[in-house]
Amino acid sequence: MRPKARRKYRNILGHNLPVMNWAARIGNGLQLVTGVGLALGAANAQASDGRQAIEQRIRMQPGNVCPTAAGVAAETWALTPAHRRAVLDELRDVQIEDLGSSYRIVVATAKGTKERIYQGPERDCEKRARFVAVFVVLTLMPPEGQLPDAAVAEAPSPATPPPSPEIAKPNLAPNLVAERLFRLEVAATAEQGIQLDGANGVRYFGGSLRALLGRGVLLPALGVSYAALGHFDAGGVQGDLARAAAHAGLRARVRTSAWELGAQADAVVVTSRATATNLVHPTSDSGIELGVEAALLVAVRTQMLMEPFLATAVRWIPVPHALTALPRGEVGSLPHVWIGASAGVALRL
Amino acid sequence: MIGALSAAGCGDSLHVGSDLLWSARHDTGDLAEWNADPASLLDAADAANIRVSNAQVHRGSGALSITRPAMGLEGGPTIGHAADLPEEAYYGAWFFLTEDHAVNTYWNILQFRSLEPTDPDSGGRTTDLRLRRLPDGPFVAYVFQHNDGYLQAPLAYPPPLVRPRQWFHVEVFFRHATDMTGAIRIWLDGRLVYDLPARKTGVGPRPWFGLCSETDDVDAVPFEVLADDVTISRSRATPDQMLDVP
Repeated sequence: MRPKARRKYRNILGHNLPVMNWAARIGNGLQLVTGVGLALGAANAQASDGRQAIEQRIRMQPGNVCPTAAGVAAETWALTPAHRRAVLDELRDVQIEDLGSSYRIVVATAKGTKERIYQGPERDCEKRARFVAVFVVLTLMPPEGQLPDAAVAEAPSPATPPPSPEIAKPNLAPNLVAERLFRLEVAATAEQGIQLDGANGVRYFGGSLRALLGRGVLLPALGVSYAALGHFDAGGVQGDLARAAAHAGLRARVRTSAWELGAQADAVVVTSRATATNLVHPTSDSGIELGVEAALLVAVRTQMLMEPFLATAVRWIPVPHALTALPRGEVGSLPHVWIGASAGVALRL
Repeated sequence: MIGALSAAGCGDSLHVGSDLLWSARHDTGDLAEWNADPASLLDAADAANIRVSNAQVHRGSGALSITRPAMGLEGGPTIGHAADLPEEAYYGAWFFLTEDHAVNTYWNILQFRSLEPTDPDSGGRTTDLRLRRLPDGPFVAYVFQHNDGYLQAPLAYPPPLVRPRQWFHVEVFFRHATDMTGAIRIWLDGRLVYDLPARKTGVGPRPWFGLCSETDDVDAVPFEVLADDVTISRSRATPDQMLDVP
């Protein structure tokens, strides 16, 4: 059986890389025997191996160059999240050319080659190493979060040739997609009226459309929804219920690199049309209700213009419609409280 | 604010339909609602003792007045409805007894028959809702079927009592059947007082529902029953009945 750390090492850097050094082997062997204390040593050895493997893929021009291959390898290893280091297997080589007051980087991966020139007149080698590492990591992994901002902090030289199509800005700044001004949400909805205080349960299915404006944490939101597939049973009187609603409110949102979480409060105007289905002489009637709604939303962030999302909402109607039928009079009422769930797609425009 | 806006007009009731099959409100001052059915008077002579009165009304401007003349034979005038009645329905009416008669026999105010012209005895096999006066004043309501298998149903407990000069609501679920699938349920002022399932309730092909003032007492005074807001419906009307679309 191979030592566990060695298997991981191979998974990270591939079989065509140099095998682990003796220190790593010894450390991992002892790890199996002595437990936690030596496991730290094995981890250090693994990091050392990882940096070394990266360094061996960096091709430098002869002489005293800035940055150094070791510095770039260390920064690249540190910048790569531990759970994503398998992506380093895709790195073929990195060419760094010290041009004096600037430096050229060419990163070759299985998907192609990307090149960039950065200014660095102060010849701060550590800083250059960090910029090269950022460029390498951004090339290997579609960047998320604020990494692109760090990458462009050191402005390119005016003499820098135009970037190749492969390193066009959208690739390095995907968050621009997320920061669009308009957000349009289309969803399929299901709602259930809660039977409280003598009100009657109703369920229906439909769709909704909601528009949000802005790029900040708080967004104004407007929306409409419609459902024609509702049914009610009020004291034995059964019927169909169609409801259309208009929403106006405010959404607060929190965004991470992978998720967007939102909480929304709305004022709601609902127009309902009810038709009995089991009376001798059925009729239809319409009316308007006012209410408030609170909703929670979670969206999966993507680098496309569309994001799938799920939402759940609670709606409160203070004065719901009573339902009447001859000769009994009032047979029940629509619910005060509704809960709903929706699934849909958000379009960023 | 939302509550105030809602109270200002939103959230009104939605009217979704009607289960009424027929009703008699007596607000036109005549018996047009009854007379639209040619089978309303099984005995043409009863017309002389049935009219619309405005002396006491439950709602609106008139009520049906049925008066059994003084010193008459057993029986009394009856008016009914049979057009388009289904096999089962809910039959409701508000009643008002104008006088506190010391009834010695019975006082029948509501009955069901079978419309069967070929059976001359069908009128003698009715299902009645009768009143009998208790010594301390009120009347107790009971069911009597002119069928040897049933006759008087056991009295309900607590007994269903009605008092003179007070409107009371009677509603009957009646399933007309010539076999044992028939059923009778009676509510007095919204309380279920008789539940009589699995019995023969008819002798002919369709039911006839009537209001009446019948007795076997030999008395020197007329027996008048007022009835108003009579309904036949496929679902219960209850005393809170609503007969107009809001």
